[in-house]
Amino acid sequence: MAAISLSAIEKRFGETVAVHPIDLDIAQGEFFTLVGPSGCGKTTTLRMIAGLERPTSGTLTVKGREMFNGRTQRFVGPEQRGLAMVFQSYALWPHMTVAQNVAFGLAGRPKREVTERVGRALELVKIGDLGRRFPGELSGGQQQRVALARELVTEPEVLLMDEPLSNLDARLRIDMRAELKHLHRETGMTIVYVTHDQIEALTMATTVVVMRDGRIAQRGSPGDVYTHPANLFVAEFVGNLPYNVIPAKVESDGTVRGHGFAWPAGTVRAARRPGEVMVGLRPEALRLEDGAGLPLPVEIVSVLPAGSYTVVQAHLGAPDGARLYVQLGDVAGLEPGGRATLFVDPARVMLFDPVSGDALPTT
Amino acid sequence: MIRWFNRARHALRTPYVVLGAILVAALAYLVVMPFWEVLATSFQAQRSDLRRIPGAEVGDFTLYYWERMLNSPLTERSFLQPLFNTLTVSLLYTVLAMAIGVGLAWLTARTDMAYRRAIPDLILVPYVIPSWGIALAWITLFRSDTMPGHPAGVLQAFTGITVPTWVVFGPFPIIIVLAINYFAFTYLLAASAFASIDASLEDAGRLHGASRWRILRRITLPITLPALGSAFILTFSQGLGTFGVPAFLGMPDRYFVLATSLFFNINTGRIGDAFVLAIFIIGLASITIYINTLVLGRRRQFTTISGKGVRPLLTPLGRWRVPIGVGTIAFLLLIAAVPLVVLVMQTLTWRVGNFSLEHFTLHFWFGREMVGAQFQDRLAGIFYNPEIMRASWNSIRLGVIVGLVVALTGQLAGYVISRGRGGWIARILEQLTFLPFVIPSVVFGAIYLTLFAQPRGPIPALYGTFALLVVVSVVKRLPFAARSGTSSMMQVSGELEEAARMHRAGFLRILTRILFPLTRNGIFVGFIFGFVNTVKDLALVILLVTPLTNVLPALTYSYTERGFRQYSDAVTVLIVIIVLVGTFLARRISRTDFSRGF
Repeated sequence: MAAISLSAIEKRFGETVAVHPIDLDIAQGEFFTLVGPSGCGKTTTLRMIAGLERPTSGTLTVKGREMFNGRTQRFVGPEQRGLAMVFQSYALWPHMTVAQNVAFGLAGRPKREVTERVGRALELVKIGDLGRRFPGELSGGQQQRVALARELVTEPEVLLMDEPLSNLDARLRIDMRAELKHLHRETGMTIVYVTHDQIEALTMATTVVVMRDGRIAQRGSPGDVYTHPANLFVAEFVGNLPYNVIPAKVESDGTVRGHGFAWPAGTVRAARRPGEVMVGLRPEALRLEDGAGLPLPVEIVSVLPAGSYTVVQAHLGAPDGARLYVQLGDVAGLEPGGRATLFVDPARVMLFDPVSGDALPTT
Repeated sequence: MIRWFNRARHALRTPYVVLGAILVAALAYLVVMPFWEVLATSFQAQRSDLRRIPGAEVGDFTLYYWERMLNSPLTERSFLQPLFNTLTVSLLYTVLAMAIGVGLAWLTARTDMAYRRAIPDLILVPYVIPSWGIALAWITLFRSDTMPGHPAGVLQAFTGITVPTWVVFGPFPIIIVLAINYFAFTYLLAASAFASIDASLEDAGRLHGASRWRILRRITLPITLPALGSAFILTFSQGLGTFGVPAFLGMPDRYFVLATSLFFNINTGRIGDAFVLAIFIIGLASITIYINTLVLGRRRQFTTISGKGVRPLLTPLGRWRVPIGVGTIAFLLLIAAVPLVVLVMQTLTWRVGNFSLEHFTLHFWFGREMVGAQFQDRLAGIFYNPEIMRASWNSIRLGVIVGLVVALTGQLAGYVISRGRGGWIARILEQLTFLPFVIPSVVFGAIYLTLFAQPRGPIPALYGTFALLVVVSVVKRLPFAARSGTSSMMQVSGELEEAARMHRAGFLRILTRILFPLTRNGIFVGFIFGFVNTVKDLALVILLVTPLTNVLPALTYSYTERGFRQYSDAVTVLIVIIVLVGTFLARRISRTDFSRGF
């Protein structure tokens, strides 16, 4: 049984549709990430799961229990859903100490148990010595840990997180990602995680849902979403370096031909029907040395070393001036203005419909 | 059906909806309905006038009262003259208060005057004395035995100087005393306008080579003008229903304004006439407030509050820097000290008007009651006088209860208004909480006096009860409390509340553990405001008190009427003491109890 299930859940604010009817099944124990640019409806979706936002229509169940039903207008408030949530702002109560914040959800339990569990929760997030401080006296990273401890103390089965790391500096964010992933494995909680940062989504999630304009653009494993984006939006949204898109044409014999290159029929699996296409390539799908790859002659524009790897900017010499970004390990001999032939792993070539932007099927 | 049921159930579980509905219902009952009944009553024949309205039964529709007020031989004296007086007094005291308030605001915010940082605190000092207390002090200071029926005042006793009657009674002293009472109000409004100017706007002018005077004329003034206009209108609107000062300084001279005229009509049983006047006062106040929203509506395009801490351009006062600063502080201290000293001196004299040392006495503070023909008016001193002690207890009790209730109600209303923003409940509640602002205190008293004299629906007859005083005071103080509650609730992020809801906290727990602790500064301000103004308020309760529920301001009034000047002055001083002690204690308590945390 799915831990959380959304069926045709829709949210309108007056005339504007924040979330178009969407279906989502979140399995027990998943690290489920909703990712997308701001305004895509991911936070609204999370808040509907939490019960902080009332859907307009559809049905929503948590562990089989109906929380919202658009037909009967049955709605269960957040108090009664038994979910936990970490807010983007952390929402720590500034007038309570760290320990009081964490103990809030344990109201009514014996004092000894509260003290012990609060202590354990604070230890778990490595701030065991901060219990008597006030939130205002803590750093951003410490506040983040308090917010986490406050939710963990009640040992929830489902933890909702709304951009929890977005207010931390870059270094701390990397540490916290690892810790959250570790925590997920330790506790076996179901985590629903909202972020606009695709790296976070890729590094931590077991399942990623990319959202755009209130709709689901793609759902899949992080690897899937990265290597086989369902459409150009996902391809361009996910990934550190810009996605390479080259206009080309599939000819009647199956040859894929673009400016300066012609890849023989059968090498690109998606090339089945003749017509205009967009060739999509991840920057690291291109190599300098000749394997069994498809050749792509380019002119080098600039070479940008980034320590462990080097980014090379190139162009095909086509009139549209499209630039390619290539991530290479060894760049010996590449000079701006020089020419080179890059080689593409045919398995990593994606073709997209130039009108709809959808990926053409490879199977 | 089930849809409807579940929707309703959800609404009933949404705290701001339920709370909003309760508050709206309460205010509809306590403010809107009374207003309509006043309107209706003014068109209905009263028992006392049946003789004069041929063929009418009690409650029949009649234009008698409107005609009598607006189109009869009485119109000139009972309506037009008080209306003219009200407008004259309001206009002139507003001009004077603006001159002082705006001047002080400019000196403190925009010049390098010495000691200017002390002004914002000092300016509130005169505020502890009720406006009618200043009026009493004025009389005590300036009257002279050349006026029929009056003993010598402090001025005459010590210098021999006598002033003409018009200095002591009538429009002149009313205007001066009201200006003294309200300049702090105009100061606060003007100071925030001056402070909110983005200095870079002026700097831009300077870079273009404009002179200081040109910048003031072409940039600073136009930007602050809407705010200053609004300050003018708000101050003016407060004068329309003002009662205490014209009661003490105008009525002895038969100089009536609308509010005192209304009071006079109520006291002589002319309810119909009084209600026609009440409608006029409310109407005038509403019109001024409407004009105010028009003025402020334009102000939006001038909103210039910027986060940058750019220091505004301070005008150097040169060698006048220190003298002007000292003069300003002396002025503020004098305005607070002189009335108090005069009042205290009066309470220490055995016979009114005789300030010589052999007539010095502490009787009016600590004396026991004196019986015997020559001691007819020698009641016990205020600390041994059961009447005064009861009124003190009532005043303190009333102030504390009203302060608490109004502060919490204000926060709850603020919660509904801030959380339901955009929804109709919030909008209606915002309007309703503001409504008492345009109903002057004495009008409120008159309305409640008539309406709650008999049982209304489930509510028993409240006249003569302490509860009625509490209700009317809470309602009258609500506009301020709700505004301050709204602004403090706006500052509490919704996520703090949502986080608690995720932890299964019910609304009561959220309220007591999260919302109230976080807005305690707002609650505290609301309490102090409610307490101070309730303890000082004469106009609101003058018509509603009975010997058992009497409070200090009303007692002062009755002592003045009976000619017991030492008692009325002593009671006024007592009120000042209660206000000071109450404010001080509340500050202490709030510091010790709540100061943990941020």
